Amino acid sequence: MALDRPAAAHLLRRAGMGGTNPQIADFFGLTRAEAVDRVLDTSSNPPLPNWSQFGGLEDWQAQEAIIEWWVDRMISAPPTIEEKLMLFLHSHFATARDKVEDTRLMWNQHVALRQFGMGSFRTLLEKISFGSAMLIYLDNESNVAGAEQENFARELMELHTIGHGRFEESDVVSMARAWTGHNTVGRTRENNWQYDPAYIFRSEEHDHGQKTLFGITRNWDAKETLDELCFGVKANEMSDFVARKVFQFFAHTNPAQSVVDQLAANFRANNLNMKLLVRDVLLTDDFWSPEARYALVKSPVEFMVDIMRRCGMTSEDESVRWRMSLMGMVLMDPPGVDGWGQNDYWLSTAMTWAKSNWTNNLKWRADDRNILQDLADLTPDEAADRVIHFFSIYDVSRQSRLQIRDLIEVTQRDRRWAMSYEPFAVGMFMPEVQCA
Amino acid sequence: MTRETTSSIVDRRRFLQGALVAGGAAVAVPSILADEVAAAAAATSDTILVTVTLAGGNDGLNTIGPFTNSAYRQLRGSMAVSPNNAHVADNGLYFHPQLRRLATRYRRGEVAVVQGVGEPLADRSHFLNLARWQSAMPDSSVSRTGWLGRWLDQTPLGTFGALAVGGRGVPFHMVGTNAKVTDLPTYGNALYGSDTSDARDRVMYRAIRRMGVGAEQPWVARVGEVNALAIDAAQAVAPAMTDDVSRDGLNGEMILAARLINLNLGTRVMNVGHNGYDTHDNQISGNAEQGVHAELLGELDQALDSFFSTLTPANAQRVVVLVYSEFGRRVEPNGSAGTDHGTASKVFLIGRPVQGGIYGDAPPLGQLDNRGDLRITMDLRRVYATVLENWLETPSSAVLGASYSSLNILRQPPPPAPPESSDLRDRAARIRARREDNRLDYLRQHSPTF
Repeated sequence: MALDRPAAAHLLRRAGMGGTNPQIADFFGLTRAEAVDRVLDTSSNPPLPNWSQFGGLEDWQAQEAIIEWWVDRMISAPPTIEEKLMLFLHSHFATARDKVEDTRLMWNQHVALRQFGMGSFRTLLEKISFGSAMLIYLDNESNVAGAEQENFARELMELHTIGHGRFEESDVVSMARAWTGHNTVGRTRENNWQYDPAYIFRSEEHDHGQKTLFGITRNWDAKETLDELCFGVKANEMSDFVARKVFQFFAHTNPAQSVVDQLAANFRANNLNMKLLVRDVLLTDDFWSPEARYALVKSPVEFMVDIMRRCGMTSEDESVRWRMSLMGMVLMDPPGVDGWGQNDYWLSTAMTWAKSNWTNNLKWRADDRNILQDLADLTPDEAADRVIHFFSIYDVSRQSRLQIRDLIEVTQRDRRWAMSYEPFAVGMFMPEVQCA
Repeated sequence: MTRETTSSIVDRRRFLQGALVAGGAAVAVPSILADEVAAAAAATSDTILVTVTLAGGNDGLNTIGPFTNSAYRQLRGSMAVSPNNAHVADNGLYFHPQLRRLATRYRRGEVAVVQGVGEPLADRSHFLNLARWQSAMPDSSVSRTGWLGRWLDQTPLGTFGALAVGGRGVPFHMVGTNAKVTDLPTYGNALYGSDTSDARDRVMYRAIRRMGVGAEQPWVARVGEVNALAIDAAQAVAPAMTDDVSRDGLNGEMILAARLINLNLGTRVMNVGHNGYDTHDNQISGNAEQGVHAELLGELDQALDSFFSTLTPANAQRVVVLVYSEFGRRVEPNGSAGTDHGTASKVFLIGRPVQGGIYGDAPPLGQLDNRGDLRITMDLRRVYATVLENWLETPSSAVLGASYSSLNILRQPPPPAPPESSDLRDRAARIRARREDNRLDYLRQHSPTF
C-alpha cells in the first residue's frame, strides 16, 4: 500500500524526530515496507564526535555541551530511526549524571547505546550493565559478598528485562549475590586514593556459593544471569516485556496481547535483534491504524526539537538544558530509575506552563526568523492551511483548524499588524503539534 | 526538574462530568475546565497539611536542645549553643537563639516538638535515609512511592489538591503511583495564561481553549483539555503571585503557600523545601549563634512566622505545618566546624490545631550508639500516623503498610468551615461569569438548536 502524505508524516513523527515537508515528500508514494526500511537504514548517519569535544570542562558543563550537541544532532539528523531509538534506550536504561557525577561515563554509555542499540538486546544489556555509569548509578559498585547491594539486581529484572511481578524477592537476593564483585575499582592505596571508576571483577568479593535463581540452583555469575533472562527460563517474559515497551514507545500505549505475542515471538526468532523488532512494530497494522495517529504525546525533547527545526534554530538560539529542566526532561538526568513516562506523564499543569511559556516566547522571533510572514494577504482558509502545513500536519482535527482560521480572520480584520506572529503562536498550541 | 504523575482515569471522569446536552446532542463544552477551579473553591472546611522539608539533615540537637546540660556541653564543645540568648521551652530544652518567633508560638501552645524521631532501620547513606524517611514503608525495601504520595493515590483531588511550592520538582514523599502533584514555580505571574489584561491574549486563550474539542483522537482531545486547564490554573493562582515571592527565598515561598491556602483552591497537602542543612562545614562561625546553621534557622523562623501571619484567621484553624528533615547529625563535631550525618532528629508540628509541648523521650546523651549517634526513641512512622489519622482522616495502615499508634498532638475534630471572604466571592463570581460566557458563546457557534 502506497503511503499518502499524512501516513508519511506519521511515520517520520514516530520513527524520526518529525519530518520536514521535503523529507515527507520523499516518502510519499513508497510502500510501507520500503518506507520503513528507509528509516531503518542508518548507514549515512553522521559519525559521533570524540569525547575530547566535551573534555576539559567542568563536569556539569560537559553534560550541557553533550545535551546541546545531542539536540543539534536530533535537529539536523536524517529522518532515520537512530535518534528516536536513542530516546527510548536512554529512558529504558535510565542513568543520571546527577548520581554518577562523571559525564565521561555517561558519554561512554551514550556511545554504547548508539553502537549496540540496533543489534542483539543480549549484547546491549551486557554492555550497559557492565558499564561504569550503570554500576555506579544502581550501586553495584558496592555490591560485595556478605554485604549485598540489591539495587541493580532488582532493576535489572524489573526495569531492564522482565518487569514487575515476574520474579520473587528470593530471586533479587540471588541475583544480587550473582553480581557481587562486579564493581568499580574505586579508591585504592595503589592509586593514591584517587577514585577510579573503571570496571573490575574482584573474585574475593564475589559470592562463589550456590544460589537459587528462577528455581535453578547453581553457582550463578553475572553474565549467566543475563543469558538466563534473555534465552533461558525468562526468555518469554523478557521478550514480552521488551516488545511491549518498544511497541508502546513507537505505536501507541495500549497494544493487544496478541500483537505483543507475535512481536515477542519474532524477537526471539530473530536472536533478539532490536532493529528487526522496531521494524516489526512499524509494520504492524496497528501502527498505521487511525487509533495510532497522534496517539502519543511528544516528550519535551521531541517537542522542542520539532519546533526548533521548523524555526531554523539550533542550540545556539536557545538555553536548551534550562528549558528542558522546566519541562521536566533533562537528557542524562532522568528523574528516577524508571526513566520518563509517556502521555499523561507529560501533561502535568507545571509542564504545560513551561511548554506554553516557551512557545509564547518564541512567537517574538517569528519576524526575525521569517516564520509565516506571508499570511496577511491570503484568505483565512489559505492562511490557516499554510500555518497547519508549516508544522507538517496533514490530517488536522476540525476544531484545531477552525480555531486557527477564526483567529486569522479576526486578526486580519482587527489587528493586522499581529499577523506576523499570532497565527504562528497559536499554531504551536495545536494538539496535533504537541502529539506525535 | 518537574515530576508529576497523573491519573488519566480520574481526570477524564472529571472532564466528562461537565459534558452538556443541548438540542439532544451531547456537546462537550470546553469551559467546563473552569468548573474545577470553582468547585475546588467551594470546599473550605477540609484540613490542610503543609510539609516543610529541611533538606540535607538538620541538626536537631542544636535546633532545640538541652543547652544547659553538661553532657551536651561536653560532647558538642565549641559547637554547643549557649543558653544565654536561647529561648526556654520545657523538659530542659531551649530553642536556638534564632528561633525567637517559633519559641513565642511554642509558649502560646501551638508548637509540638517530637524528639528522638528516626528510622529504626536506617543506615547512614544519605540517599537511602532520605528514601526511607520519605517513603516510610515498614520494611527495609526501597519503595518507589512516598507516604504522602500513597495518601494522594487513594484521595482524588483537583489540580491544586497537592502542591509542591517553588518549582523545584515534586519531593519524593509526595510521589505516588497515580498521585497528581502540581509543581508551582514562584514566578507564577509570568505563567502563560495568567495575564488577561490584553484583548489579544484573550483571543489567543479562547482559540487555545477550543482546539482539540470534539477530536476523534482521544489524545488530541486530552492535550487540548490540558492546555485549557493550564490557562485556567494560571489565572487561578495569579492573585497569589507578586514579584516579592520569587525573590525572597523560603520566606517568599511560605507567604505564597499561605496565599494559595487563602485562595481556597482545594489544596489539601503542600510542600515547601528549605535547602542547605547538610552542614559538614562551617555549621557554626565562631560560636553557634553564627554560621550556616544559625542563618538557616533564622530564615526558617521568619518564614514560618510570615506563613502564619499571612493565613486568614479562619484558615489558620485548618492548617497544620509539619517541619521535618531526613535525619539528624552526629553529636560530636567533625574537624571542620561542622557535623556529619547522624540519626535521630526532631520534628515540629505547628498550628492552631496543635496541642503544644514536648513529645517523646530525649535520646540519652550518656548512651550514644556504637557510632556515637543518638539512639532513636520514636519511629518516624508514628509522627506520620498522627498526621494521617488525626488530621487527614486516614487509617495509617492504609498508607504505612502497618498500623502505628498516633501521638495525642492534634485536636479533634477538624474545625468548622471558615466564612467565604468577599475577595473569594468576587473571584468565584468572575469565574462563574466567564464560564457562562464561554458556554453560551460555544453553544451559539456550535449547537444548531441554540
